[in-house]
Amino acid sequence: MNARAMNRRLIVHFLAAASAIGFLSLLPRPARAQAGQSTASAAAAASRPTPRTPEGHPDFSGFYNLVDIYHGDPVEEKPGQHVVNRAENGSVFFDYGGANGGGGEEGSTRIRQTQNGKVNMLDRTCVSCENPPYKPEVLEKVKAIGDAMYGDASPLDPQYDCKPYGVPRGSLRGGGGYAMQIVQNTQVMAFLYEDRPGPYFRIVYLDGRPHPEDLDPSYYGHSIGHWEGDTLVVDVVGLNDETWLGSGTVGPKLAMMHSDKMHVVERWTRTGNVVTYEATVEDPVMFTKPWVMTPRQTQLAAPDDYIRPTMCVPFDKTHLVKKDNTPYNGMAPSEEKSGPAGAALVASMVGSWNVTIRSTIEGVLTEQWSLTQDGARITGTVKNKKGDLPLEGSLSGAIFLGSITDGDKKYVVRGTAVGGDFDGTIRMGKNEFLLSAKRSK
Amino acid sequence: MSHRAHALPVAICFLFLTVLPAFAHHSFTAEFNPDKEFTVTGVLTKVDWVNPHTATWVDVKDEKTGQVESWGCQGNPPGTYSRAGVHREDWRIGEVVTVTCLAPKDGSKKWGFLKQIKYHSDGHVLVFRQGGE
Repeated sequence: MNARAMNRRLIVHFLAAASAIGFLSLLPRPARAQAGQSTASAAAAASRPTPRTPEGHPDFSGFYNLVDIYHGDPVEEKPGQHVVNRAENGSVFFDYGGANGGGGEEGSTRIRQTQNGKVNMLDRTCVSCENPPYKPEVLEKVKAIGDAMYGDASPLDPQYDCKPYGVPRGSLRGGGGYAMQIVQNTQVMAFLYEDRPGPYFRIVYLDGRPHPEDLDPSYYGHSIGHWEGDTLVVDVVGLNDETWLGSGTVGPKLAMMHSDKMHVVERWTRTGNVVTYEATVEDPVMFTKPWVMTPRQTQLAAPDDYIRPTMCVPFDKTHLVKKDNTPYNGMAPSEEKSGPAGAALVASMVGSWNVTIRSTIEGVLTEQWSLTQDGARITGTVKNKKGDLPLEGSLSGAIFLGSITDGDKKYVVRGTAVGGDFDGTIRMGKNEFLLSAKRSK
Repeated sequence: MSHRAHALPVAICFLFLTVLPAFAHHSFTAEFNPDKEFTVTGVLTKVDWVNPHTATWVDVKDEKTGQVESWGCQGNPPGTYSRAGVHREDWRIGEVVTVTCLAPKDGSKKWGFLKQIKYHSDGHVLVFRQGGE
């Protein structure tokens, strides 16, 4: 970009900001606004005429980005204003304008947020957010994982594997960057997301077809939509269980899992240049009743903005630490035992376990574990076709991390233990396989 | 010419101010210590222009052993940078640099969060402030 183009962009942004401020003084606050939300340009965007198709339905087509709409939902953050300053000598100064940049206090509902180089405190409390209504036995598991998380960061959160966010977490958002293109005609509405795991799309069928009967589960499932007035109502089934609903920090922190029996009904509306997303989630396996997600909004991006088709690489997962600042990976069992979280909430893994490993190379493997426990430290013997192998590891809440020694090889096992069930993975050389176990006595 | 600033016909100094989406990098404080940093000098070998975080790689020679090791520092997302006006070509691959990064909390060596790149050839710096500095 040359200097003239950059200056032109600068002027455009200043004009946009100036008009947004003008609109703010004229327009009432939208009914759905949350505490702490900046609605300046959102209000301006919502006041634009809503585009319509020749059939008279709202036309959602356009390129959207979160811009300055914040819902108080801790899954999101209030975007700030990044500042780039290029000095005469060619040096570049970038000031991050988002939340959490300078660190946030664990357990605090307020986090630091920088805008224009100035640090503000951002209220992360979401007054209208509610956790999913988990059944008691599920709540125990999702809370145990949540209790060990630093903020809402857990390596078990599929986002740290760069997996798609899925429905409903990613419906409006796609990837980490929030940018999405919507393309609409009479037959389909297509959502083109910017990232995670890379450029990704989702189709909502508007042609009156039913869901297929032989549906294999997937990250964005199968979506059929119909119009109820100006609202597009979308029914979503065929969702897999490899996504979370969020990485909840509302009230008690929960690892917001769901089952592959989840059914989502979405309601999409476009008012001016603002799109509002509502979702009701049914999960007969994990919930006691349907969960109504806090509505979210996005708005048309700057006219010259475009999809950055970037791949996602999970650099973060292996470096996450727990809220007591101990690493999730590679912690010494002795540290774990004496650590602040060690004694408070530790599941039991004592006993005999029937273990199933789903190897993509050798097929289904079975073995038996006999485990003993001293506080958070787990030791035991693995009996399989190779003979008896030693196992050792540690528990943090319900999260187990350990290893099985096979001669000069070490197989890393991680997973969660709740009651008589253990679910996790085992890393054997370069490969990682699903592992599940049931306690036999 | 690879360096964007060199391509500018006149020397300009301006503030590029806009409203942009932030990447919700909740993991920042679950990975890095805002109060602890390290500095290494070596050859800038690569920038990974990937989500959710870019990564800058520097080959650093251990003076004692003579062994060259790759050090990496993650940064903000590529979309955040490019929408704000920092571009991949600001990373001048192959140049000798001194890189300052925040240290990781998990004790990992050779990994951090990017704070600054200083080019030895002309003294230019790329400074990345996350807030509060």
